[in-house]
Amino acid sequence: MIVRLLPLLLLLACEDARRSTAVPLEVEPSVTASGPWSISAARFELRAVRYREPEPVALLDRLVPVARAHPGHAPDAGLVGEWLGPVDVDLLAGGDLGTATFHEGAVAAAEIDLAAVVVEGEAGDRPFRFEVAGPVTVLGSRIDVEVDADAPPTLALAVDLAAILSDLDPAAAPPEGTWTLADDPTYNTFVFGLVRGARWTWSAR
Amino acid sequence: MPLAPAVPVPAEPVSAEIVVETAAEAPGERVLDRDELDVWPAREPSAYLRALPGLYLSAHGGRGKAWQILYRGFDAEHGGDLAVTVEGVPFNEPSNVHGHGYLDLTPVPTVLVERVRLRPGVDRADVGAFGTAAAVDLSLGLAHEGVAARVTGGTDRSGAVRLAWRPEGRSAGNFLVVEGDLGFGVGEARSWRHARVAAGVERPLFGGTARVVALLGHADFDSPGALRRDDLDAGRVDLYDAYPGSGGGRTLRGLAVARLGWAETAFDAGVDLWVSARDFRIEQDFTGFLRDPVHGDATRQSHDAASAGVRLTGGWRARVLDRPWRIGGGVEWVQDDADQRIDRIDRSGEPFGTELEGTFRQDAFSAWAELDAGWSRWVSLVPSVRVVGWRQAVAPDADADADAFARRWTGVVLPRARLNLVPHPAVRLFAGYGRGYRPPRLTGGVFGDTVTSEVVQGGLAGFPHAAVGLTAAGFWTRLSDELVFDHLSGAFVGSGASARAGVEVLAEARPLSWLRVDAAATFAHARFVATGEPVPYAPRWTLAAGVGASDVPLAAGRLTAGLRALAVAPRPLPGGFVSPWAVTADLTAAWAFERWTVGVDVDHVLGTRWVDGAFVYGSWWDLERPRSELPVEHVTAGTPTAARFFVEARW
Repeated sequence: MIVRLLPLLLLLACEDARRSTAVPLEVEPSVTASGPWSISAARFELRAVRYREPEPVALLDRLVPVARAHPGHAPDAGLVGEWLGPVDVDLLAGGDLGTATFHEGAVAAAEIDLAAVVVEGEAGDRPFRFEVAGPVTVLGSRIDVEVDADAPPTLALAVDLAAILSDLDPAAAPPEGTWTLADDPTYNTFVFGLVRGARWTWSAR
Repeated sequence: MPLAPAVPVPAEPVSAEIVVETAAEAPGERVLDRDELDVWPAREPSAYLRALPGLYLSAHGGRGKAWQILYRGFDAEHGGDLAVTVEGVPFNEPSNVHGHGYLDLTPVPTVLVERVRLRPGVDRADVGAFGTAAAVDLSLGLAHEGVAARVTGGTDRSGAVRLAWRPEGRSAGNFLVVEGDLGFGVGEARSWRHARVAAGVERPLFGGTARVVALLGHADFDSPGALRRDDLDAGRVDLYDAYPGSGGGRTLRGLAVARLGWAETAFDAGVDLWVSARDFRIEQDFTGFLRDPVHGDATRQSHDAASAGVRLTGGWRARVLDRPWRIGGGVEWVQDDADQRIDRIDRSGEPFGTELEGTFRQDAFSAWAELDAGWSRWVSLVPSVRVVGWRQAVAPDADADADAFARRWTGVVLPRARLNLVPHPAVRLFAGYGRGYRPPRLTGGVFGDTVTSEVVQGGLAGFPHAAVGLTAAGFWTRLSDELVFDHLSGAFVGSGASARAGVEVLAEARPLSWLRVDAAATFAHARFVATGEPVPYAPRWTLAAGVGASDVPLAAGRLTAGLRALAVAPRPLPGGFVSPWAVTADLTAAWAFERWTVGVDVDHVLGTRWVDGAFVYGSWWDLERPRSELPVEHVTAGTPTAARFFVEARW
């Protein structure tokens, strides 16, 4: 009996492994105006994007399912995808970011590392300029996608500049128009809005 | 191991016509004597562990670092679940800084291994520390009288010399062996330098037999570490390359053991005394610059230890109700003292920070008893119990005075039993239960809890023909705390309770008096109890086969040769990955003519490039490329094809 089953069991032991794949990434152009804000430039240095799975992935019921070394110990626990820069991004123009490396499976959230953020334009009739030297990290940017190495999606990142700026009072702009002081409440509000995960959204196609 | 075998008196002897070895007392148990060892390709004694069905050895260090042992669904790391004794002396090192139960057989010359007993399960009273899955006992002796000098040269850029002497008219326990070997290996960071001296004396004394064995071994080695799969696939590295600073180490270990034993019809008794010392140092870097982009992630682990032990054993035989009974037992005390530290080192090897420093002393007191009751001519039942207590003391540094030690006592009770049924001379049924243990592990300056295993196994052995033996067995094991290696911290981490179940089949045949053939298949399914997820790295399917020809007349001489193949099916890795198949085969052949012997040992005769170990973690080696944290597959190269040719002269 065992001899008859052996070829089948051996064949089942040859299940496909979880695969890695390249996933194209791009940035969608952002709005240039929102309420009293007129944006003439919005750019940043995108350093890295790290994608995390929602929970231990239970793949197909097979003889060689998912294993975890030890729950929750390693800092890289749950990391299933990564895009490495740095690339200068013009948020008003959008653009192609190349590819990220993903392991197959579900993706739930992204962490985005930024630096050298500049957003400028006019607020009403007064110029403004936000500069954030960084680095800053956007946490909890939600993404709901299943990566399949046979048909990888293209992921598009959108930054809701309108929502970020809507938290601010344009009348509070300093005379010179540039918010850079860390203790300036408006500047802090901008940075807080910038790193909120909800302002960075993803779509897949 | 006491001189008197701690085995039950057979319920009924099997047919004298059966020629297949039947020294086994439990499913999968095997005994390799000299004839079988001669046809077993073995560059070092660890290779004999592969005779245990379902066992796979993976090397991710250089020649000198302990193997990673994978067995019956266990990732036993460097020996944490396999209790190994040499001449009765426990060889697993408790709380070795690199791995709990670290098994280093460096001081044991391969030529001296006279007998290997491999015992799955823990259903015997004498299975000691780290026997959570199985136990292996090595006995030493030199097979041939006279002087033998051997010179070896290999295509792996290696060379070796060996001098072995056994006085004329003396037993195998009288010997002197001196050997050295060095090589560069195939590829980068694989060089090694080994030296060993071993001496033994055996004499009748006080109506019994006295035996003294001394071993001293030193190894200095480089270690190639693991390579990123994406670097391999992109051609940035070759399979036999190594990242800069991959590491290496040295090990020095000495042992002296004295034994006095009596084996009479009605009783057996023994006294064993031993002392050992070791100096161990290893440098490793699995992750490159991931943690520290400036200095790198390399660490240096140091472990200096001394051990001593004494064991008293005895047994009494009698006939009860006209059946043979044996009552046996023993007591043992083992003391281990060790200083250990882990330093962060930069690329030049200079330390710049200390992660761990401490000293510990552990006294282990064991007592065991077993009753071998021959209830009937068909049934043998052997219940036993082992009790172990530890007195442990730890201090923050090696110079600490007695007041600085934190002390505690702890212990464990380990019931065991095995059952043999012989309903027919050609059929034997086995069953066994045992609780095994790993001593409390020192982690971060604190001793943890004792880890215990519950092992249940059962099976049957049949002899459909005098020259054919078949064994089939099932096993189930629960481990109270699984240890898994974390490459980021370079340490083993407790991961919770695990359970594994499996089956194995072993077939052995002696179709001709000089020819032996065997094959084994083992399936094991290991999961964490809390999550149901598979235990990473633990092998699922392990297949082994071998053929050996002993002392075959060939031309004017005699040929002895053996070929062994091993295949390990893909294993679960962290993150949903699986390792590739690992398939290898080794060959040994020797032709003896008068006082000369010429031969060859071939590693991996298949000639393929294969992956031995596979792991999943993040690393960053190339500072000119962006830093990546994504866990990816890392692999270690399997033993490349290499041939070593030797010439030996005897007089």
